[in-house]
Amino acid sequence: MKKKLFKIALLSTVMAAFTLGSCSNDDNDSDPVVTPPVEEDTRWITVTGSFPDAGGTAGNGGTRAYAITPENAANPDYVVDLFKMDGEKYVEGFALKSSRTARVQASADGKFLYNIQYTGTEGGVFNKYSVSGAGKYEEVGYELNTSVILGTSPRWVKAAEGIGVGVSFGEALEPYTGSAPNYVYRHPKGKIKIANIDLNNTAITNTGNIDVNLGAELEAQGYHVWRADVPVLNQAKDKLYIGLGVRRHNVNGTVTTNANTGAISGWETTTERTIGTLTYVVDYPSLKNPKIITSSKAITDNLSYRTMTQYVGTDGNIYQAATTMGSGHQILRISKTTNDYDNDYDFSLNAALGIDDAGIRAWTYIKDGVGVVLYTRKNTAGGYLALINLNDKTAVKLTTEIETDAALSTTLGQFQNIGLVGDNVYLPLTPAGKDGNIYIVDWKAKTIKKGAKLKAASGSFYLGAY
Amino acid sequence: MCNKHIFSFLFILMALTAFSQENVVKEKDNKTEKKEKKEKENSEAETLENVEVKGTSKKKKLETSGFAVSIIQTKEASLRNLTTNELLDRSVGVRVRQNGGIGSNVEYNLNGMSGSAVGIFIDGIEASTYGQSFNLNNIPPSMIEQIEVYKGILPSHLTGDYVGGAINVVLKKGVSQNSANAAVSYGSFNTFQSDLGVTFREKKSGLSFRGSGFYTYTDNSFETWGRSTTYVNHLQQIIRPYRAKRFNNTYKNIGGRFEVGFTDTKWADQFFIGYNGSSNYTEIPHGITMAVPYVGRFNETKAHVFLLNYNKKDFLTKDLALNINAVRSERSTYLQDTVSYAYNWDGTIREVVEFGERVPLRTNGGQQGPKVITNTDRKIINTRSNLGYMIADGHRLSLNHKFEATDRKDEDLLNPSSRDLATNSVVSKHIISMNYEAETFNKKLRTNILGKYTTNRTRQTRSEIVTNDGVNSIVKTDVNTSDNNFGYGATLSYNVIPKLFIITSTENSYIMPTEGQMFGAPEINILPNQQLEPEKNVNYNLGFRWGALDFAKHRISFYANVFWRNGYNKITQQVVDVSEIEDEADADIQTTRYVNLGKTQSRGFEAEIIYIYNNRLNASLNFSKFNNLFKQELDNNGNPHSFLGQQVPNEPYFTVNANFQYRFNDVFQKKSILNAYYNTGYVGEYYIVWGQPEWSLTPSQFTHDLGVSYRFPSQKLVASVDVKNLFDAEIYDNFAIQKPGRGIYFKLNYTFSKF
Repeated sequence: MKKKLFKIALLSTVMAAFTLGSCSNDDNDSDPVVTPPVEEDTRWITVTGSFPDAGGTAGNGGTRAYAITPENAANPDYVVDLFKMDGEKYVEGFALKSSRTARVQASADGKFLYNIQYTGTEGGVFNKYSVSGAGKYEEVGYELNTSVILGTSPRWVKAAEGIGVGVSFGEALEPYTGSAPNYVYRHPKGKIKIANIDLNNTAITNTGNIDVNLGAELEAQGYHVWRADVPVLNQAKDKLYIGLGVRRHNVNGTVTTNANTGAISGWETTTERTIGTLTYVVDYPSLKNPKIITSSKAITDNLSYRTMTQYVGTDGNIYQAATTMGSGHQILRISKTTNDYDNDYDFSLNAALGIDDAGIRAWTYIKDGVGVVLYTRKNTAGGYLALINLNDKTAVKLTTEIETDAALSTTLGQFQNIGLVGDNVYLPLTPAGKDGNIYIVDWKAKTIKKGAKLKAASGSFYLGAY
Repeated sequence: MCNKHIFSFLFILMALTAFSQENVVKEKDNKTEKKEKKEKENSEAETLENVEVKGTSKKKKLETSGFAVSIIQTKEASLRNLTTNELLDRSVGVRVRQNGGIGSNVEYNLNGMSGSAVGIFIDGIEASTYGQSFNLNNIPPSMIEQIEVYKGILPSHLTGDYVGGAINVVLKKGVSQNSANAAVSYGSFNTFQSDLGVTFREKKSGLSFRGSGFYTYTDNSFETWGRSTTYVNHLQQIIRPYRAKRFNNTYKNIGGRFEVGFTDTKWADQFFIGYNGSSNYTEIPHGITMAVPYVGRFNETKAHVFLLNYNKKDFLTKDLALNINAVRSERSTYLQDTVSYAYNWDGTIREVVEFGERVPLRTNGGQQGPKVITNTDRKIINTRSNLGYMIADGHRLSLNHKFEATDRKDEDLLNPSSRDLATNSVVSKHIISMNYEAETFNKKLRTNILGKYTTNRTRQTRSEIVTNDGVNSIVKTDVNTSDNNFGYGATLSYNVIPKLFIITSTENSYIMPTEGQMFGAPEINILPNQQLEPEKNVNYNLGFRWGALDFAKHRISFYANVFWRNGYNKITQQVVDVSEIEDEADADIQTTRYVNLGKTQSRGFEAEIIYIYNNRLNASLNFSKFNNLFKQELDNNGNPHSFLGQQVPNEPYFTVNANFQYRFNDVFQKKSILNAYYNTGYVGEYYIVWGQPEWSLTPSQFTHDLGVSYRFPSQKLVASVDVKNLFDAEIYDNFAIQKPGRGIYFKLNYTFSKF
């Protein structure tokens, strides 16, 4: 500070002004670098973690990333301290641009991270980073502005290798007409916007939108869409499946109001539901010919909080978890031949594990019908793991020493990505605010072992491996 | 409530700001002095020396009031191309944070205290009463007598829910002679400003008239080129840096103030009734950040304000003084946002590939979200009365009552029925305060003890639909809520040796959230948050004032103050939204809201040195440095909070200002005066989010302004030129919102006196 004062006292004005002028960020990389140099062939495994906001809400502050080698990941003596602070600065790893928890995806080889900033000063901006170990992440390619299309809190995932898809539901009508006290119910309809993101060339190559139409019958019963989520491409890459959040208005009710202001906030709802899981199907990449398919096997929506919930299997079918924030335990199948639900197929995690209260929080399809599931239980605190076989509908529970920690269910609720390298599945597990480890599952051997130690901090936890 | 308070006291020297040649403290009740001053202003032969001698004697008067106040004189500034906000920004410990150019939203930060902790007053009445069309953004300095900046504890004529201090704009009162003045200015970014003032007094009856009007138009068409200015192509690829000229930031403001009444009569020293009307048109160029330019989002505000002012020194009995100031305001704020295309910063419509074809990019209906047309009407009564009694020489007791009531009506003009069931709220506030000022120990010790009692009442009428036998009806219920709190404070000043004063003050007080903070203000992107709790503050100040010391032709004075402010449940704007975690649709940085941010602590110091040489050179250097720390120990889960003790992000905490003025006599013509000015300001770097990632750094900023004014020998005409941000520096206040670069402005002032 003394130095600064001195500087000012001297009024070294011109110099200062010029210095200032050059102070802007230097990441104005306008060259669309498609393949930036990654010298080595190391398969870096990125672990990400989120930290709290000022209110202390876990995971709401932002996201940090750190890349380690598979050897270090497997070494229980190796320590990742992502939230280490020197004074007021985080010193380990890299701060992904995002004011809230980042929505991070990665290339299958771990060489690139992709993120759309969630809220914040540049909410809705897409960034691509190359991974070169430790905290060495470099922005590459163009930044993309998705906010007008997808809003500043977008829902997007990698829908296939090299292809990102963002979706957003909006433009719903007010669910009423008329005036007080005799408001009349009006179906809110709404629109789903879709954006195809070319992850290799960083560009939004096509967009489209769907005027939501559930059909007169369902609309008359008050069913309506409130969210679109987890888009996935089929094996042929000609169909895009979009998960739908559906709620139901009580058509015989009236408006609801904000308790404080009295302003109308919506229409009364009911939890009575008889329709199954709904998914929109559109042609890809044209995004035309929208069609709704309906499962008769599950009545829970296919949505997620921060993670992907549907994948293309080795057999070419889509496997879709019917779960919203851990509310469901089923995995459904969409046939590659009919592009519709295979209503003869139903995987029940409850049945496979012999329990009745499982809720799928995150999962990934590995290979040949095998997947790994992170789940919580309604009647028992903690966070649990299982290897599942979607072909023979079995499951093997994998035990961790922290599985009964109630704080782990918070972590699983926000979990973002399960890492997959060769035969190994990488699961960073830290109960919110507590230290944990990377757990490594050998899915062929069906074993689990503890890898590198993960140091957490208050309100912080690790939420993904890539 | 805490029962142990040792009060200390204070005093402060009013800072001679660099551009004020004179430092004349107006003494509120002293009409005679005011007259003298007016006359002095006319006799242009007045020398700096005269003024200073006089200033010193008047300063003593101020010292008896015992408050930590710095006075900003506007007389000099009114002749130049300076706005009231620019004047404030240059004074010690004041940081004006503005979202861009003229007319954009402003927040004031007094040594780390901001938002509702700081009161903004016009003649002792909250500026919000007048609305956006008559505030520090647009009141021309020529209408202003002076600006008082109080840090910490407030005198009884400004009590309210403010613990961080206050800025009080004292409008011109004098009508001792008939005169008129006019000024017109034009400059960069197509900025045109003019103002006009007339005073008239009939000697016999004391009938007086004051009138003034002002008009501002600007395109704010300044260029921006920082990180936040981007161009987005049809593939949504962001090109930056990108240089763009603002095309969507027009600001228009027009207003007038007319007062008629009597001065210096038997029954009143001043009695005025008046009307203050003003209107604004403001284009809103972007949201909380510059990420997305808005086109066609604008607001219009109008305010009709009726004024009454009465004061009398020896009211009923000797040594009893009465002062009443009452304002009735009807103001409206209209907001429209119905343009449904997305734009780039070059003013063209953005494109997108939709279903394989390049088409214009459509938004959700408006620029910030869905289409919006809203109107908010407010009816406000705001009165302040003060009764002061001199018990004995050096002992004064005063009683102050303040009443404020706001009746607010919100309309959604696109969907009027959505507010059929809206809760109607009338918020009213009474504050009764008392203070006792004493001068003891041979007038070396000055103390001031202040207590205030605040009552807030909210009458809410809630509506509900009730169905009986299939027939719907609206049932209204009234809910009355009230709360009150007691605050207290004290100031002390001790004259140790001649010209050296030790000053100290303390207070313990609550701040209620304002109506705008609770119910929101869509025109400035503020969401409602009715869960806001009052903020509690405990503050301490300790400082000294030394000087002015004379050595031959040199004159120097020093001022320094350390402060320690503790805020509990501090009301502050949320940096990022933390709305319901499962309903994230609302989370959008384009808007913000006020929240109670746990505990904070601000510790720091400010200092100022003023140096005058031979009454020609006038230089001042001031700085303010503080640590605004997050002091919440536990997070929501009861674990130690990892940000404990860290600097609260997104607030500048180190500022420096230096001002120089040099006077040349008889340049070009005899009896002319030429003044040259130079001002430089520095704001240290700060981060906008926790954890200090590099991308969230707001870099340190240096600005330089130059100015020259020339008074022609006739004494009637003054011409001036000002260059602001001389080196075209990239400057920011909020969320990387770039402010104007270099601008040049010309101004002519003409005074018609004694007609």
